[in-house]
Amino acid sequence: MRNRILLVFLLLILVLGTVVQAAELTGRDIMVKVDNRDDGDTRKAKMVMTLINNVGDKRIREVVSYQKDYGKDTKAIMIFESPGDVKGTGYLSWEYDDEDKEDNRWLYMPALRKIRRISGSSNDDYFMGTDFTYDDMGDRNVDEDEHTLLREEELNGYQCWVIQSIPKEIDEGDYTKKISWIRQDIAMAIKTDYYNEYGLLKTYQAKDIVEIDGIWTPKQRLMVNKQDEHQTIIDMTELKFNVAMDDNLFRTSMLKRGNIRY
Amino acid sequence: MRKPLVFSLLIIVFLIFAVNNVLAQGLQFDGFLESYYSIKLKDDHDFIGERSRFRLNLRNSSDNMYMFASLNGVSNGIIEDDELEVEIHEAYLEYTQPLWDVKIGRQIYSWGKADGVRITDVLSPCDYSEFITRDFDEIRIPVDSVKYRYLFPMADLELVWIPTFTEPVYPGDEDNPWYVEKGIKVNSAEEVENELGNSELAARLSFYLNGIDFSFSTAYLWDDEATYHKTGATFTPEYHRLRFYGLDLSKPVNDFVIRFESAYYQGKYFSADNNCGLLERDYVHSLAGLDWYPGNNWTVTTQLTNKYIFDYEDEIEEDESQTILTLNLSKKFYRETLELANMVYYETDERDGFNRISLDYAVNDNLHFLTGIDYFFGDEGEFANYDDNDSLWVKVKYNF
Repeated sequence: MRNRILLVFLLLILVLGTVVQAAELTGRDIMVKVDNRDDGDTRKAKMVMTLINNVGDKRIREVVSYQKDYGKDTKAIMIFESPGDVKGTGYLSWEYDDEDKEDNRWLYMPALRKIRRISGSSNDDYFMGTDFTYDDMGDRNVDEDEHTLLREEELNGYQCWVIQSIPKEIDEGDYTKKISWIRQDIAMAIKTDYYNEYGLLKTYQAKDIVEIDGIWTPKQRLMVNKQDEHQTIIDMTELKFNVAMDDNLFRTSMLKRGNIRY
Repeated sequence: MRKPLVFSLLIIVFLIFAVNNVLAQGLQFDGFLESYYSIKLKDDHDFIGERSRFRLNLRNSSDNMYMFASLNGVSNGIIEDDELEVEIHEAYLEYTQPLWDVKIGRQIYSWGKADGVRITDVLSPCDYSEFITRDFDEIRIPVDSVKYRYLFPMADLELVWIPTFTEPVYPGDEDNPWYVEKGIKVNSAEEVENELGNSELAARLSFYLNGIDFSFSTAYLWDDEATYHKTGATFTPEYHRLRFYGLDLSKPVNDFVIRFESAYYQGKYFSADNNCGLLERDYVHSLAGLDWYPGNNWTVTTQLTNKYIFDYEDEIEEDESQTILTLNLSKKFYRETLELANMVYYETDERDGFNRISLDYAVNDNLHFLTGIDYFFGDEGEFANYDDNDSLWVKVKYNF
C-alpha cells in the first residue's frame, strides 16, 4: 500500500513537472530554440530559385552560396550563375545579431566591374525579384519581434508549436504579424504565414526536410505571395555543412575573382 | 598600334591553356547580342545611332588558374559604314592563392566610388565616339596590363603595370554626329612609343571594414586627354605624363550611403591662349555623393563634382572651377522586370546638361527591351554642344 502511494506520488510529480515545463515554455523560448538549432558553422549550397508569376511564367536564378557563422553573426557570399543578364553578380553580407548594429552589404556588378557598398538597413526589400525579403533570407534577431505561443497542433504529421510573432517596430511596408508552425522534434519552422495591413500576404513552407551530416535542413523552400499570386521555389542542391571555409572568402576581393574555389 | 612581344606571347600561352582546358573540362561560354537605334528629335529626324553588337565570353578554370576572354563583334551604321569589326575585348589569365592573385592580359579597370563620372578612375581610357550615350561596358577600353593583389588582414593592395599606352577614342570627323568642330587646324596626334620607359604604374590600397570602405591610390600615367601644341597656325595633339594621388570612401548610414572621392593631378597641360598654346598646372577633382535606398525598389543617387585648377591664369581656356551635379532616380516594378530611370548631368556654371530617361523591360530572363529619350540642354558648355542630338532610342538585348 505504501509502495502504491509512493508510485502515484512519483507519477504525479512527473506529470506535474511536464505540465509546468510545457507551461513555462514561452513563445520567445521556442523561437530561441529555433534560432539556436544546429545549422552548422559553415554552409555551402547551390540554390535554384524559380520565380513563377500569376500566369505561370517562370524565371530561374541559380546562385552559389557560402555562409559562415561567427558566434551569432553570419557572413555570406553569393555568386549568380544564371540568367545571363545577372551572371557574375556577387553579393556579400556581414549580418549581425545585435539589432542595433547595421549589417554590411556589398554588391559586385560585372558589367561595371565595380564593388558597390549598399545600405544595410532595408531588410524588408525583396531579394532579386523573389518573394523572399533580405530578412527572410537571413537571420532575423529573435528580439525584433514579440512572440506568443498560440497553441500546439499537428501539421503534415508532425507535432508543432504555433507561434505568433509581432514586430516591435513596424515601418511602412513591413509585415504586421507572422504565424509560424514549429516542428517540435527538430525546432524548425515548417510553415509561416506573413500578414500585412491588407491581411495574409504570403505563406512560407519548408519541404523535403532531410538530415545531412547530422543537420536537419529543407531541400526546398516555397514562398507563395497570396496578394499578387506570385511564388518562389528555392531548391537547395549540393548542400554541405561544416566544411572548412577560410575567412578570406568573405571579403570583397573575392567578389572580383574569376571563380571561388573552396 | 603594334603590341609588344610579351603580349603576343601571352595570347599564345592563353590559347594553349584554353585549348588544353577545352579538351580536359569543357569551356563555359555566354554573351549577348544587342541592337540599338537612335533617331533625332529635331530637324529631319535622322538616325544618329545605328549599331549591333555581339559579345562572346569564354571562361575556364583549372586548379588555381582561371581564364577569361571576350570577343566583340560590332557593326555601326553611322560612324563605321556598317563594317563589321571583330576584336578581342578582354583576355586574361588569373592565378590565385589564398592571400594573393595575379591577373595578366587585356582587362578593364574601374576604380573609385563615383557613378558616370571619372575622378580616381584613371586606368582604362574611354571611347567617346558617341559622347556618353553608350553603356559603361561599351565606353570603357580594356588595357594590356599586369595586376597583382595582396590581401592583408584588413586591406587589399593592388599593384598595376600597364606597359603600353592605349589611346582614348573621340568622335573622328564631321561625318560623326558627335563630332565638335574646334575651329583650328589639327594634325594627327603624336604616338606614345611602346617602350619600357613609357609604362604606366599604379597602386591602390583598399579597406573594406565594418561600416566604412576607403581607398588610397596613386599612379604615374599618361594623361588620356591630349593637349594641343601650337606651331604657327596648326595644332598637334600630344600626350603628357601625369602624377595622380587619390582617395575615395563610402559609408552607409541607415537608408543612405555617403560617398566621397578626390584626386590630385600633378603636371597637367591645359590649352591656353598664349605663345605655345599650353600652361602646366595642378588640379584637384572631387566628388561628394549620397545614395538613398528608401525601400520598395527605389534608388536615389545624387553627386556633386568639382574640378579646380591651382595657380589659375586667364589664358587657360578652361574655367578655374567647374561644377557638375548628377541626379539618378530609379524604380523597379513588377518583381524587377521593369525599371524606370532618369539620369541628369547639370553643369552649374554654363547651365547646360544632359538628361536620359530610360525604361528597361525584361520580357523574360534572356530578352530585354529598352527605350528612352536623351535630351541635351543649355546654350554653352560641353553638353550644349550636342543640343541638336536630342534623340529617341530603342535597344533590344538578348543574353545567352
